[in-house]
Amino acid sequence: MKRYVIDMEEIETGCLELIGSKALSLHKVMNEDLQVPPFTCISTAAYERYLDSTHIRDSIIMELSRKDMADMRWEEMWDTSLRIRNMFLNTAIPGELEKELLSGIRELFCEKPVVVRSSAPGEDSGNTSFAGLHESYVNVRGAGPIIEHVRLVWASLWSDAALLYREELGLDVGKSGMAVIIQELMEGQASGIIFSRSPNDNEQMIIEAVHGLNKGLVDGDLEPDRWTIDRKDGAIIDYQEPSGREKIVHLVEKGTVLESMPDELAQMVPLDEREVHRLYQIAMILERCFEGPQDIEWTIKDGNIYVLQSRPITTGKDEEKVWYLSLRRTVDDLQKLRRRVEHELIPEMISDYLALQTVDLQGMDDSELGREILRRKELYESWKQRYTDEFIPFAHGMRLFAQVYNDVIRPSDPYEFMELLSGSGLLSMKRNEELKRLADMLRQDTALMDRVKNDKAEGAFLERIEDFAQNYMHAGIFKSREELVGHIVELASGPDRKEAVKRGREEKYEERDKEGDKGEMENRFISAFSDSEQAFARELLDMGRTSYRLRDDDNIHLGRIEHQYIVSLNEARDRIAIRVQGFDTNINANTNDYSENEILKALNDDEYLPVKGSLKREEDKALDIKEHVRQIQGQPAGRGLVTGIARVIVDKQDLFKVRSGEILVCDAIDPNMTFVVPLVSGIVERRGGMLIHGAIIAREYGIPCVTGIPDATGIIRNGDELTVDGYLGIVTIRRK
Amino acid sequence: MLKSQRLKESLIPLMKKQKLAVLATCHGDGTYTNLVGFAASEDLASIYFVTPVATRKYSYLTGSGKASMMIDNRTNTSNDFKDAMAVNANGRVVVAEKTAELKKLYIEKHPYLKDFLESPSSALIRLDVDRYIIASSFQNVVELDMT
Repeated sequence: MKRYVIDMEEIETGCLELIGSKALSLHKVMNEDLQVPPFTCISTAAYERYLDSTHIRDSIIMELSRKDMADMRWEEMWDTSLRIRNMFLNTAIPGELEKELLSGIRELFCEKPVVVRSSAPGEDSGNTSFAGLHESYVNVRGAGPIIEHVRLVWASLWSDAALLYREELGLDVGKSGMAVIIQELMEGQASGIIFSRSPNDNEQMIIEAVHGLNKGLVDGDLEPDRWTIDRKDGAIIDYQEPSGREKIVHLVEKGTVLESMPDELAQMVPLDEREVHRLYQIAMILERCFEGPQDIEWTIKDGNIYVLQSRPITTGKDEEKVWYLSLRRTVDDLQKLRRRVEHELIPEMISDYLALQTVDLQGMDDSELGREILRRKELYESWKQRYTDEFIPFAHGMRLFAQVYNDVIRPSDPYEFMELLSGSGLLSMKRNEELKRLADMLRQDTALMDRVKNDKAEGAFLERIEDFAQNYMHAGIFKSREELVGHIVELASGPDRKEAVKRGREEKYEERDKEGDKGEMENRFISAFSDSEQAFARELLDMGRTSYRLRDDDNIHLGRIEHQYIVSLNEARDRIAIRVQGFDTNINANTNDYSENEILKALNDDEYLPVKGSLKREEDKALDIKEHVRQIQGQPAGRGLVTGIARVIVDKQDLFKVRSGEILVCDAIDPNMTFVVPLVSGIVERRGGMLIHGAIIAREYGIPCVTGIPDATGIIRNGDELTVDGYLGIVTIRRK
Repeated sequence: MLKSQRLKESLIPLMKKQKLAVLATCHGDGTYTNLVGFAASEDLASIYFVTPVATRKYSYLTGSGKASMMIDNRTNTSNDFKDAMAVNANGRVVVAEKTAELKKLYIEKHPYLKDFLESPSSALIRLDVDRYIIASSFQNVVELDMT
């Protein structure tokens, strides 16, 4: 029988599959007569038994069968990972297995603080070394909590990052396993990392050190002291002092905390030259031992250097994957990002578009207008880049909140946390509420409705239309007052959305609302923390809400900048239309067909007649009438069950064709398009994810929504009868 | 023990072990088959399975009120002609209430289908078996009346 707990002294070289790469590395480090903190290993056999006796293996198979991983965006992988993690969180280790694990751990560690680390076979081999794919937990005390964290480490075999690197890892439900190292926590006076070979220079080694634990350094919260060493002889080539040694990571009752560094310690360099040299020697030993450059974590306690782990140096080649991994931020980092997004970037964006609004385009001559178009395009492009670089990473705030919420509450629905984030006053919701108020005015006054339909709006209604236009018509959607009024008339013609959306057989479902209102949920979340941790919990909730709100709002602001760019193009198109018609009055100058390049050429040359481009619409695609997708599975992103007629959005103008009660089918909805959502009874989207804009707005309105339907706008046609099952994530298509 | 009782008991291992069954439904002149995850009651009088309500399968089942299911243990080798057993269950279908007892019966066999079963958009269907038709050793066929 395979053993479930294997102590450090009992490890043999041949048992990689049972103890994983990190544990085997530590064993090899010990064999080099270097010191490692005492540890024991929970073998992959324990993981296997847990998986089989609880049927989690089958549930993971079901989860992974939902959609081909190759077709998944990273947001969908995060969702998949969250659901799998929740299975582990809510499934206790069966009694007998737990008893065996406890007896193996209790004697060794009693109440000593430990680190619970992942040790997957193959995780740190030369070909597949990727930092941060799996979880480690620092400062766990007592056999019970250790076992709880073992489950979390097991779950991290299926982390979003691991799913992203599934091919490199060879991730497979049937074959992949996870061992766990339980290692005594050395509360060293100084800690750090070594890159035995500098990524920038093969002849050099890098040593970084901080006072206290190295968690802050590994997480990127602390700036370390840094030595550059000549690999040949260990001579110090360069020493860089940090801009400040302001913080230090300390142990608290559970986990660690980043605190202010005492002044006296802040003045001190964490290592002396002798220690730097000893670290150099250790790195060279380990490089020889593992036959390649190493990324080493170490700590110094009472004058002894302990190697915490040693693995091949990570080389991120795939930029997109590396970018995704960079989205995972610490709370501290997210707080900094929040301040920047909320207090610098968004005000700057608002000021940019307000400034653009005041520019008199009509007063410009053609070449000035050409330059203005390019300036606006450049501005829009630069904001799009900042959106990717800074706004998207801040969206991780709600993901971090989700993880903490699920860890402490362990809800059966892994998306319960969304209840605490929704209703945060999204700009798009405020816009829609105003549209609803305008629609209500028409709904309650049929005479006014008739006048509006006959283009004779007046009085208070007209004033409010003007106010709306001032506040919200900058998002690149409503091109004219007529379009706006037309949309409000359609809204007023449909059912009042105050009525509940048809929700299938809701009465038999245990609605989350019954668990209590939002206030109660919030209390439950906060009180799950100890008194001293509650301020942190509130901060995290607040950050989650801000992240949720800004993720939507920043698109509205970006839409306003885009709108100003489009306005400048439209001004040019109007001028060109006059020129083209002047040349030949028989020509119907549909100037939307001119590309930006053609427009600019025409603006810079009075004689030039622009050439029309051929814009191919998706719906022109030849349809295979022999094959018809009848039912397809995506992600359940908004609860409910509804049947209705499909309205496929290929072009933004299609949004104005939406009729009340139809089901919106789109590629990717953004907050500038969501004004149409109060009209529809369901949403189907190609882009997948539970936290994407379509899913968020569907939840705000309580509309069934399924996301992640591959080629949704290709396989569904206008007029198809759709059933959107927002509980199971299934879309049924009936072609008439 | 009666012969029929022995026959019924011989079915129990197969009904417990197999996870999937072929479900046959009818509508007008048409027929339709699906694979479904099933669980049988202890006395084999009823077979339960789950279907989303927005499917043809569901509308055919509720429209006709009848169905048959095939449960077998073939391995896709020539030995099947000798060793495989195929059981055909005929009867009437109704939408069953998702009681705690029935949920337990179903989830014990299919723990990974818990969310599917508990979704308000799915229905638990009960096939009240009138008759089992058991085929074995290539062409031996026996009927077991359950009424």
